[in-house]
Amino acid sequence: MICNILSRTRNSPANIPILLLALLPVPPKLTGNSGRADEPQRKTKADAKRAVFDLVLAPLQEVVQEGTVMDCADGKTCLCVLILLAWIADHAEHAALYGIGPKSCLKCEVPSKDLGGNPRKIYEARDYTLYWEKAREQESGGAGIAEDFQLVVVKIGRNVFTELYRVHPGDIHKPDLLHNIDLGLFKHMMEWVARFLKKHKRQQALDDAWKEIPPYPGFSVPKRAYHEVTQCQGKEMRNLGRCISAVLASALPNPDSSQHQDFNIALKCVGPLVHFSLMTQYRSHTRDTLAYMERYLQTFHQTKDIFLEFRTSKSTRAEVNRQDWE
Amino acid sequence: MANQISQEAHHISAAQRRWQADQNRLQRVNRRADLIQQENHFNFIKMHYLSHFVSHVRRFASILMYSNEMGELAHKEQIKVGYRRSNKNNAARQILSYYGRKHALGMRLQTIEALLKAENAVVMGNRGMEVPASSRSAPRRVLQAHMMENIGTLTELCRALNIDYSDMIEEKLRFIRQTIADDQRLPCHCTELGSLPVEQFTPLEIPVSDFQEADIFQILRARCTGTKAFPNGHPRNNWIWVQAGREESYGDLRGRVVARLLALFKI
Repeated sequence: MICNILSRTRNSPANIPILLLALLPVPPKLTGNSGRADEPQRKTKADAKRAVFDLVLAPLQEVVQEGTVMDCADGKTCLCVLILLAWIADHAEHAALYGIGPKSCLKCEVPSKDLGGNPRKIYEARDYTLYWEKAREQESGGAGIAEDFQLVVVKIGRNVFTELYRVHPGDIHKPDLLHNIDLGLFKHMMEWVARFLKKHKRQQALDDAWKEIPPYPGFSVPKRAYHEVTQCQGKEMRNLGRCISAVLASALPNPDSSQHQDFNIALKCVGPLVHFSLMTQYRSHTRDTLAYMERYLQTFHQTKDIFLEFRTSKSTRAEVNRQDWE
Repeated sequence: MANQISQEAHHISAAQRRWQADQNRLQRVNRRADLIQQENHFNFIKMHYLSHFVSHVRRFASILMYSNEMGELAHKEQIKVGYRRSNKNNAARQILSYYGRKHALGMRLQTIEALLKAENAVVMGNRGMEVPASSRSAPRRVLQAHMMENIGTLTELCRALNIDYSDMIEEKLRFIRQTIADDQRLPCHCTELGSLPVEQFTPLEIPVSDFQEADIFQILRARCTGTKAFPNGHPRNNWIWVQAGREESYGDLRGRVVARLLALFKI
């Protein structure tokens, strides 16, 4: 922890705690013409990545095994063993490091068709050591594992964290609030909500409510109407998360008999997701807060189907247009 | 007549055509809705990761500290700004050194500010004194005491709390000599000091700066009921840290000692 280091050590230019190690050149993009043509470049990229990570992680390996003498905040000198605990990166970067498909979970072997399924269902956790063992067996002339790996969407047997001493590769991956919630689900949710309001002809009500939010400490008032916003930063989306539940509720007054149920379910869906995201920002948790989180997530999953019709992908839209044309 | 029949036939066929077109449109809409219903799904990875959040909190505590925000900010702060500040010749080396230098200077400034604040906000100026009293040297925003219980003199207070009066006077005089001489300075004479009116308090509100936040303060209440009972039955006299030496003194406690509150009073 940085806070344990004495300020004079921390401030010394030679001992800065946040260190920019290297600037890696960005390789040219794959042509995408054919898999075979791109294969040599893909291989070169993978080799370069492996070499870089071996170089970066090698000093850490020595420290983990032997320990290193460090000055501690209490003025004493201790033998410290530094263990790699977390690798902070977004999902795409993690998927590249772990050699896992981009649409797969790095923690468990959930099939891609069940990603949006019941959150309480438990899938088998990924065992990266086993993958590496299987890959080694294959190298030494064992049975083929291509099918096994394809089933769990594993591309390489040995990822960059395999064989690190005292490191469990599955635990290195950490949840990422910025991409997962602020710029991920909130962004999706706002698209669904916008289309939902368009369907029920309530867009103007949302914009009116949006612009009338009064300022209060810790909250920056949006300057533009919602439909004018083209791009949002993580902080803006977090701000939005605090008020969207109330804004949506005030944009959906006086429903007629056909809208009543839909409006209720939409509010029931947005509310728990907002609550869940706010609880993920807690600095400490109790059993009760964790139980709340599980309950909110469950409620969100139970009610999310109200927005299903707005989850049309580009390929589906293209397919529908093609059929219309025919 | 023939003309009328042909008109009728034409009329019927137009209606049929319209009906047929309506049917086709309906079919198309239904087919479209069915296809969308079949193809739409919520199966994307961000939806699934939410289910791992609770188990992650159970094993590794708060999620907030692992957020990617710091790393993403580094793209701009460390690399893009670094490149703009460079002279574009051999930029990589300049980018690498830019942020380290800027960060070190920034941290140095913050530390100097924090040290200046800490010097002003020493809670206890009375070195080695057993009874911490609200001193004038401490800023008002640091010491806020209320709930006045009784008013008497220092002699009565010592008698009520079973504190040796001579010890108290000795410490008090030493404290007064350390304070800056001004028009509100307490008298240095023993008898004069003993007859001054004294207000006794039970809680002492100490604002403590929040972790790594210089401007946010949390109010901690140190309670001292003397010999009187606190609502739960027994007298409550909290143990507190007292800054007795300079912060630079290089020991485990860095100049702090532990002391128990015996009384809180103001002369």
